[in-house]
Amino acid sequence: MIQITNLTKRYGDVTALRGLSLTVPAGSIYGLLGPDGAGKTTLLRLIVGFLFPDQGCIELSDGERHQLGYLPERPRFPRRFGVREYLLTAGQVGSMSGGVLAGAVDAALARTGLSQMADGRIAACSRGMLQRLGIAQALLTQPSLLLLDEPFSGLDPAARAATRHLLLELSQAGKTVVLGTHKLGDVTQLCTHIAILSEGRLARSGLLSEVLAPRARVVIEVDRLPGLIAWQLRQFHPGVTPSPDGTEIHLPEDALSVKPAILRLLLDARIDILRVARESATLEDVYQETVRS
Amino acid sequence: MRQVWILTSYLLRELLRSLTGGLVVVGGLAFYLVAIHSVTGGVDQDYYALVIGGFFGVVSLLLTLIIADRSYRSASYLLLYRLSSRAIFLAAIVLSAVVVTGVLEIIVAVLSLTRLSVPLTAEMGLDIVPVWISLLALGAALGLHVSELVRRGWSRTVTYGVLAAVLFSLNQRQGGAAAGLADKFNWIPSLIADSERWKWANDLVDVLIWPIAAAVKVARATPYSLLESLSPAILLLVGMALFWLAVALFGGKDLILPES
Repeated sequence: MIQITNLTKRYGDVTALRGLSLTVPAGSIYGLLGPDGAGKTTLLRLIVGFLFPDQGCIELSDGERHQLGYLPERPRFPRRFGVREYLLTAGQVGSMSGGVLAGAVDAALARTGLSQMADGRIAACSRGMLQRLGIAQALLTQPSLLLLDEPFSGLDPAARAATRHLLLELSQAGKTVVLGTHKLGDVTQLCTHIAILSEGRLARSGLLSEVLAPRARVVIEVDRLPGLIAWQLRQFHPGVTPSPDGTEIHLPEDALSVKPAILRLLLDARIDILRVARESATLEDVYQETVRS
Repeated sequence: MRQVWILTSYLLRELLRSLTGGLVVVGGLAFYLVAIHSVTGGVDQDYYALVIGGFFGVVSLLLTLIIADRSYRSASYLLLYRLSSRAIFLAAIVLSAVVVTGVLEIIVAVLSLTRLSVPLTAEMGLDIVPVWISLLALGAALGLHVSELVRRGWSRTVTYGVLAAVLFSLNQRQGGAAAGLADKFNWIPSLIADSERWKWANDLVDVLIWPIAAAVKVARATPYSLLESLSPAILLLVGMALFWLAVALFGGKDLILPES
């Protein structure tokens, strides 16, 4: 578990984090979201210990400080090293040795799909391979806490899916994963918890299901929506919004009371209703709303 | 300690596979050819002890600076987070520099002895080795302080200032033993030495350079006192103090390493 209390970090005149408090539960996959400059990378570097807070503190569960795996935003490697040679060195620095280390290197290479590159040079690796090598080194010592900054950056769709699967496996094995990312689709598929940072402040946080639940809405799918009907719909409630292509009508939660009246209007106008469904708002909606506000 | 050796091995491989590593080796051998092998009239004991010791002391400083600056990049994040203490990283940098410089120094020293028949007694040899080792250690510790990796605030400027003061004063007091470019700046220590107002500064510089001046005396074929015989140990202690100061500076520093 990570307990972050009233964390403030300044770079000269720029305040990167302002009084941030956050709890990352053990075993969770925690997504840190926010626009560029929101403080995600700074927060991860503070947790790893590369930066020191100006105020506040970060408490890690017993032993996690020395049992963490870290992937920086754009991992760099010594280009003249071999892939396996580098992982062996990283494992040795992480106090592994002998057969245990060799086994861990092979396992990390296999899990990240790099086995075929094991004896190749790092200089010969593509951007995506370097990203996977970064993930491999983070997994090497089987850490209980993984801090990953933009882990899906530079990965092709297959590698992204494999990485998501890998992180889910790790979470099921009881590991805590904290990832800073812009890829909202990956967060939706992967994370149990999210925190949205904006200008160094915590704008929203909690269980992903809870963050999305209050945004529940109804979508009515129709074959076509004449302009007059679209105008009449808005008279029921200002929150009722037809989609630009005229095939969907969105009812926010506070407009659900007008749903029967809307359906009656559509039927009277002989408009085919293809589907009526209750849908949660997407993470994209929540993110945009939170960051805008 | 194991982590120090592993990191040292990593840093050495990283250095020696690069063009910079090659240039360091070539530079060492070029030094032998230019400063030792081609000296007309042969090499005497004093020249052998001081030129080799002084040159490799400076190489140790420069190599530490090179390795520290090569480590001042984001690739180091992936090793640094695994360490229980940042002191391990600095120890590995210093050890890497000392190992490479030490090996080059041994090669040059042995080549000089065997090819040029330097008239060196065993007794003098025993005097020279501790001085050389202490100069290597001191050079490496100073190299840390002039690197961006360790620099915090004005620390590097202060280090350069102290180094300059010591070099000027050494030059003045050795009566040309360290002659060269610094001769052109002789007016600075003279100005200080001649002024009553700056007597305290002159005394301070005296204290700072005493161990080096005493070590030079030990390494040369001249009589020296018991206290002066301890100067290599004192230089080592100064080197250790500088190392721990570097650890304190680096240990409390925000690490934002460039992505190069």
